[in-house]
Amino acid sequence: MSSSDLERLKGMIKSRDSLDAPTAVALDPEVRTGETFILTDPGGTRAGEPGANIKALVKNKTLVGAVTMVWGYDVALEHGDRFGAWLRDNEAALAAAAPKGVNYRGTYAVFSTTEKHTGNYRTIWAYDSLNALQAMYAAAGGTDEFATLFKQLNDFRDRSRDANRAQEILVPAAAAGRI
Amino acid sequence: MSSQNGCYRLVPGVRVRPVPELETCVVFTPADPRLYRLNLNAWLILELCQGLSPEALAQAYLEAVPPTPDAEAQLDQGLATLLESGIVEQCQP
Repeated sequence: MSSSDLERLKGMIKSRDSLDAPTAVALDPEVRTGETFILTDPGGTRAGEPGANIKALVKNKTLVGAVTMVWGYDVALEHGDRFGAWLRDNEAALAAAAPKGVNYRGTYAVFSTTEKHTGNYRTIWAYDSLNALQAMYAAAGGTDEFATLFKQLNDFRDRSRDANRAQEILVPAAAAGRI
Repeated sequence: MSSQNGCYRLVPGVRVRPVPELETCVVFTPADPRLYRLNLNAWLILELCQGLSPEALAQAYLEAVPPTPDAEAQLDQGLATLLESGIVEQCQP
């Protein structure tokens, strides 16, 4: 720390009438990504494509998708009604416009959860393959109807610093590569 | 428990990342891999552990903090905490 930084630190303290006793609290880092499972082709035998068993389970709707992504986020209270109206008007079109292998599985309000900071809404995407997941991001950067609706949906997200958010990518446990 | 015989300094290799907007700093101790979050008071003590003599360190600390009866005790407590955590060490002036 430079001497000017030390002076700033002193300035932060001087503005106080009292100071809490000194503490050094050990932090317990929480790593949730890539800790247990390798993101691989779900049961796949060819890069980016699921195996036959996974395909069959997706097809008969036993599985939501070969890869499933769940977004958790908040929408500012004052935009809640407008968000609901947008969904009523556009969810079907968003699903229809999704690229091949990408399946919009709806946006949900969280009625109950044990998690505190994952947001009040969930949007669920199901993919036929890892390639489809990549295809969605490519399509989202375009200018067609899907890209437009994708952007409009995400524009409702509360991006403020204190807003809650989460993202989960799920693969069928039967095909997961555990480490 | 201010050292009467030596000074205090940051343990070599320890990394300090100030987070002034949260009035805290985060410290990593690679020898015993841990992260610590220091509050403002401990952060100040850490920053003053730059090889000052015990008397100079105490004087600088007391000049920086609000004048309270337990200020000296808090300095001792802070130094003990930083020593115990492996963030600072004693050295010869």
